[in-house]
Parts: sequence; C-alpha cells; structure tokens
Amino acid sequence: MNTMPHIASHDERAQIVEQLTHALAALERGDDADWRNSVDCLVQWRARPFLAGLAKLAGELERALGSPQNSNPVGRQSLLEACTRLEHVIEVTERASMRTLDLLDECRDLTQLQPDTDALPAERIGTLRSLLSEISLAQGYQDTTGQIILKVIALVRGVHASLDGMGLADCLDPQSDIDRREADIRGHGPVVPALDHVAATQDDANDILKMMGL
Amino acid sequence: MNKNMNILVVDDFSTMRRIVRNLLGDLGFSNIAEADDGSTALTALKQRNFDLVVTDWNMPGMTGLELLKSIRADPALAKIPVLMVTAEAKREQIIEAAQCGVSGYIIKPFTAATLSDKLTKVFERVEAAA
Repeated sequence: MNTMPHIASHDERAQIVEQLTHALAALERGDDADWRNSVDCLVQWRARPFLAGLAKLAGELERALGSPQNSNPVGRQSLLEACTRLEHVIEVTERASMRTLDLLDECRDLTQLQPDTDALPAERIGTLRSLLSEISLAQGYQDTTGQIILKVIALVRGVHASLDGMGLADCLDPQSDIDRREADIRGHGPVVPALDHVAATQDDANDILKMMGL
Repeated sequence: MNKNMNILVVDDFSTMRRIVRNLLGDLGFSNIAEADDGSTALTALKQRNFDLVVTDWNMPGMTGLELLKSIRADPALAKIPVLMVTAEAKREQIIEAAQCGVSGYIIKPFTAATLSDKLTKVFERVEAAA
C-alpha cells in the first residue's frame, strides 16, 4: 500500500504535526506507552485509504455474491444451492446404481440352470426381458442428474462472471505448488479430458510397477 | 490362492464397494468386509485379521495412500497385500504408491479380468516370498 492519504485541510495538517511532535517528545523522554499510542494514531491515519478501499471491496463482493435480502439469483445463496444440488446428484446416482445392481442380481439368479436341464424355462426368459427393460429404465437417472448439473454449471458460471466483473476471477484460478502437492497426496479425482493431465493407462501402471520390481 | 481369505474393501462410495464385492464373489471370495474410508479401515484391520486390502485412493478423512503408509508402518499389519483400485492416474502417483509399498495398482474403470489378473499376481508374489 503506497497510497498516502490526502491531507484534506489545514486543521488536519496541524493535527498531524501535533501528533508527530507529541510522539517525538514521548520518545525523547522515554515514555514508551505514550510514544506507541501516538504512533498508533498516525498508523491509523495512514491506513485510512486502505480501509476505505477494503470497505468498498466488501460492498462490491456483497453485491456480486448477493445478500439473503437480494433477489439476485447469482450470489452467495447460489453457491450454497449449487452444493445442495450436487449432493442430491450423488444421492440420485447412488440410488440408481444400487437399483441397477439389484436388478442384475435378480437376472443372475434367474440364469441359474437347474441340474437336469440345459435350457432356461420360457417364463424365466420373459422375466429376464422385463428385468433388462427395468435396468434400461434405471439409467434414466442420467437425465435428471444431467439437468441438475447443468443448472449448477449455470450457477457457478454466474458467480464466476460476477467475480470477473470485479477483477477477482483470476485470483481464484492459479494453483500453488503447495496445492498441487497436497492434491498429489489427497488425490486429483477422475481425469477430465481437455482439463486434466493425460491419464496413465492400466498398461502404464503395470509397466511402472514392473520397473520397480513389483 | 485361498478362497476363504478375509478381504477388506475400502471405498467412500457404497456403489463401488458393492461392485468390487460382487466381482470378488464371482472369483469365489466370500469373506468380504467393507470400510468407507482409511480411518475405519485401519480400525478394522487392528480388530481382526485380514489377508488382503482393496482400497480406493481419493477418500475423505484418511486417503488410500495414507492407509497404505499406516499399514506398512505397523509391524502387525505390514505384510498384508494392498491392492489399490483408483481413478488416480498420474504417473507420479503410481510411482509414489509403489514406493509406499502397494502390491498392485488398478486404474478405474477396470474389468473383471484385470482384477482377477492382479489378484493372481499379488498372491503369486506373496507365496514366492513365503
């Protein structure tokens, strides 16, 4: 912070001179407490532009993210909403996957042949067809979750656009070396093409382990 | 390979735990326990004997890598084979897992054949070392 506050008036200048004189006198007579107090007053005066800028930024951020009273759809509530929607996606996906696995277990049981035959009874084949149809239907969750994810993308893009308008979006992107190392330990998650590194294949993993004697 | 061995499957997603359990069941293994992160897995490992750990990497709380390190650091657990089944696919991570003592590394998505092949190789090495 290199901006010096503007000295608004002759009176203000006189006050600063008095404060400086007082601080110097306290220092000369060895009065540490009084000297420190005087310097604090000067530091506060010095910090005024910074604090004013911070207050202005806080106000703009409040407007960008939206306060609970705002009807602005893009804001703080949007980020919370995005998280809630994504948690719902996880629940829906898990339910659909479990349903699919349950149906597959039923199919598996139906395909067990009796010891004295090498063909499935006709009614079992009919039941299998029904189960396979239900398995197909169970994949319909992707339509639901896809719509929710699209909405979340819109919410997050909206917040990003607001922050970009304040010149803050770039601050959010860079990943420090510490963040990268932490991610290497905690995990990066599944690779997304065009965003992430080129993923190693199973053959690559096999070769690496073989090279290391495993 | 002893089909009665005790296997601990560790993954924070219940669907994946079920899929791995089913695949192991298809291969003849039925003594399967589950844990949803590294910490609960480590507790389970200290409470009863397991012959194999199949673990994900990216989990909340204790990760699979941290679980692996904890297993290798505990003399009572150090020799348990650990098979990592994970979406983590950076070369550096595979190397790190190997350096930490992983017994096998499977990248998701995977096939039943890959799981079977890796299990066979892991236990061939265990038997050769015995």
